[in-house]
Amino acid sequence: MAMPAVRGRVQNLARKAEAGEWDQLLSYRLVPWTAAVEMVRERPLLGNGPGTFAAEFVPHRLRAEIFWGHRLVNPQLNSFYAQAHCEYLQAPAEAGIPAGLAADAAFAMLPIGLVRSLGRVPEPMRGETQVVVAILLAGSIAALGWSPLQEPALAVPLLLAVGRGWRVLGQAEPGEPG
Amino acid sequence: MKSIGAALISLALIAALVPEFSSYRAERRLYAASALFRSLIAEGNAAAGQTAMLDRVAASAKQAAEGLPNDSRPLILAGSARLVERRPAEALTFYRRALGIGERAEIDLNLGRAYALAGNQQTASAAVLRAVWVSPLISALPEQVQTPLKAALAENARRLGSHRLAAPPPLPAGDQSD
Repeated sequence: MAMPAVRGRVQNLARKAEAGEWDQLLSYRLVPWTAAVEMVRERPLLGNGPGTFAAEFVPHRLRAEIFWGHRLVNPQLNSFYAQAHCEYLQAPAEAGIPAGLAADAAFAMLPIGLVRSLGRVPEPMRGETQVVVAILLAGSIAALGWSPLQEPALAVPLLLAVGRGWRVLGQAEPGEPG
Repeated sequence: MKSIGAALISLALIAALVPEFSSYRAERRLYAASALFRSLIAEGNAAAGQTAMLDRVAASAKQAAEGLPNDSRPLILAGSARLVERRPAEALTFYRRALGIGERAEIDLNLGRAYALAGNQQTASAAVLRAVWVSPLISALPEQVQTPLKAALAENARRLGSHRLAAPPPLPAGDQSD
């Protein structure tokens, strides 16, 4: 906490957590998250269709308000979200729980597989593998509270890292994890 | 075999990119039409007399809508040009098409303006109440519009908090999005 700005931000967040101001603490992400959950509740098997979050957001947000008995608005904006601000929720909301879970699991298993195979990839590729793992981990964490796969500038490098990760896994020597 | 694969991938990439060109063209057209519309409404009430320019805005927005089929912005712009021209029936048609793409508070609000211009005050009030329930844009509205809405909003919020609100303030009959 050497930087005063960071320290101040953390203290501010702690104060909001103490006061139970979860909307502000999460930068009003509860608004799109609850709408996504409502979409999943409505169509758990097949979802509302890929790319439909923006179109379905308002009615589902309003239904979520009724369900939770709580206003879900972002006073800083026009209270519209084109993305769920959580890839792990947007996937099942748009594609249903089975497809969403499969996508989420595939995205989670790749960096795990890469870490486990670090000892088995050819030495010249080890450094590159670590970079790919770092990119995928950064993307996985960002996807918790943001939508990196909906932003072309971020989706392209992330998907390239995914492709390279699969290639590296394919070239790892078979055997026990290193 | 490899060259066939490369050719197929190239064809797939070209097929994926071609629609983007018309989207970008539509975005540029929409930008120019929006800029023209902004300059017209900056004139205040005098804008209503600029029928040739407003027709140009509506025509450009309609063309842009063809290249952006899942985007409500060009339809909102076309509707607003008609609204400024005091042609509420045509404005309503555009706003309803925009609503069909996905509900947004600004569409609800403009529906209210169009209904009011058409002399249907009760329906206009319903649409505006829905707009300010969806988005906290009430502070941007004129004081005489805010006053009756504030009481209705407060009553709905109170009932929501005690789980006695069965449904959000509805859109006017015939404009329901869900």
